[in-house]
Amino acid sequence: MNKNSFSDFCLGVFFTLLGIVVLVLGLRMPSSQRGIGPGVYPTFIAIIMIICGAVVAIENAMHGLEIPSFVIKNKPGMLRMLALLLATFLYLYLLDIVGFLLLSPFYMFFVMWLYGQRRWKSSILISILTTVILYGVFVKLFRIFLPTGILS
Amino acid sequence: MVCSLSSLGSSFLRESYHEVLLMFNFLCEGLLAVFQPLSFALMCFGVMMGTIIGAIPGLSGSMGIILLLPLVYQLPSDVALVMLCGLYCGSMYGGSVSAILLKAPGTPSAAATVLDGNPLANKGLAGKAIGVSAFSSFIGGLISTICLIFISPQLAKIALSFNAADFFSLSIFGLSIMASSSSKKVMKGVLSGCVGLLISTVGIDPIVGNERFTFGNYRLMNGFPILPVLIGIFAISEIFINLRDRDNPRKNIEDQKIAHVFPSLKDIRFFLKASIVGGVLGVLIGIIPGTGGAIACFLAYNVAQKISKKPEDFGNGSLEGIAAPEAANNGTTGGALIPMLSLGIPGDVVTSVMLGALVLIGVRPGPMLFVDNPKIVYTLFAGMFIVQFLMLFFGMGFAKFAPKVLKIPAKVLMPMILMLCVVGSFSLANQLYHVAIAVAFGVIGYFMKSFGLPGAPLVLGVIFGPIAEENLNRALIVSNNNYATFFTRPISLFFLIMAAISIGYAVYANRRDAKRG
Repeated sequence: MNKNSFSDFCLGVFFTLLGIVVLVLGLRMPSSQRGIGPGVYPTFIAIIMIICGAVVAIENAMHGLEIPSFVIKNKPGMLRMLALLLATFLYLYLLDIVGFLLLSPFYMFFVMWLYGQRRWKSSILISILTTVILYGVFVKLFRIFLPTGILS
Repeated sequence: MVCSLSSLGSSFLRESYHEVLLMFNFLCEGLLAVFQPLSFALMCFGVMMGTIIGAIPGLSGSMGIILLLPLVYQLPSDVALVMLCGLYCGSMYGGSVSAILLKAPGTPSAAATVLDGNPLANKGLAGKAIGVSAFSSFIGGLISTICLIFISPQLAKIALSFNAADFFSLSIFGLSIMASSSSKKVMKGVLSGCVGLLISTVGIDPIVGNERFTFGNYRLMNGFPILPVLIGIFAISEIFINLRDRDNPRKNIEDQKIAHVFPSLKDIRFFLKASIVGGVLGVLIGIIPGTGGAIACFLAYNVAQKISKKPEDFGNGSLEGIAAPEAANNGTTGGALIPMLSLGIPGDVVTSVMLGALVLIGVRPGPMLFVDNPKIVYTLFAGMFIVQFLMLFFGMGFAKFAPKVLKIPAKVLMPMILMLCVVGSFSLANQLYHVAIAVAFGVIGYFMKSFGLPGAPLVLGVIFGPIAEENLNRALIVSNNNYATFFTRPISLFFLIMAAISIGYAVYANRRDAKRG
């Protein structure tokens, strides 16, 4: 089994299990005398999911069951992605407290740094400009109130 | 007998005449609406944005639509619609610019343009190549708009006789065709569609009012809003991938003078046939749901080579080799809008995102749109017509600035797009929760792409989910819970057979390709 088909095998197993969970939850929902109850539609989707998931898993398992060595490809890239994800959730957590105008330039500066932008002056300028332009367009033009945080 | 036949004929003629007159009237109203200052300005903006977004490799028309969603949400629906059409057509053309200058198509639809566009640019004739591309895109777009205007109202008229069972089967057909065409492995497409349908079931069920898959979380009672889902699946996931692969160098553009953009009359006469053939083929391919520009451009390229007087020039910078695929990919735009407008089934990935955008602003494409809101439909038709001229104008103008735009580094562009995604998803309901959903779906989209699961069926599943469930329920109530109703109605049976054929054929093609290695 090559690495691709192993990942597809895992994908098939995942969807089969997900389908079973949805099926169980769907069957527990109340039924209806006429038309469909709330559980029929999810049950219908779950059955298709189980069938397709099983087909994908079995099809790939038939190629052999050799599990490839687990090596993370492009480790720095994955770490960068993880850092972006954590920074984004931290940004969202702090946005209400600190406010869009004050916090966004720092967030954008960090994202640009993650992308490999090392020209500090232009990074600072772009971060501030983007934040101010977005604030102007959304708050002044569209009347959408972005979090003001400590500035309120 | 003769008398009754002649009276029947004259009443038919009278009816057709009346219909054409009405259509012309609506079209004139549409043209007036399009030339309103706001509509016209935003249409120009859409074309420009589309051209730029299409030209930058890594950004696509669907991402462009998503980035404009916060703006779309603020606009009257007809204005928003013409802006999106401008962006759609502009992005189709824009893809050719990077194909010519960088040898990297900005969108998959411009893949065939590389074959002759880049060799011509290497001869120092990049301006000429871009000019031929813009002019052919204009021809293809014009052909597709004419087909759109004449075919979609007729198709909508047929669809008006559909009942709930037919609409349920139509939804299944739409999903199956998107699932079977958007991935190399059909089962993955189906699974992606199932995930979309499953996501659409989260929240209070529309029939009895029971909670489904909310797990006690009150925020989930309204289900997942479509805008953050779209932003996550199509835009944020792309940002993650770009960040992961940032060390892979992007091709650098060489400085070269872009001149003689407008093609000469002699050149136009030479490639016009290829443009027309490409445009017609593009429309035909575009009408088939789930296909799109990527298939049309190669097909048109091959046909143009076969009918060309100079087939040996193909691959060495032939003008016909640029004209045919470019006319074809712009021909698919109007073609793809035909099933989307009249049946509610998108023709390609961009129109499926556009469908999501329309649902968001309260426009539900389908046959009833032609009855309830002909103004919107005909404004779109008129807009599509004017967009082609704007595309030609801006396309030629953009040629000189294209090398500068293509030099914008991803490390500056991507963080800006991310900020736009954050603010865009927040703007829907002024809730950070929606931004969190967008990021979460960005992660889901990233994993889906990593595992080869296409995003388009998921989005279509989210859109079609409630429609399919509602029609399934209605059809069963009307037929006293008789499931045979889906097989006894000829239209419903036709769509179910077509769905089975599309999946069956895709499975067969997968196996055949696997055997060939």
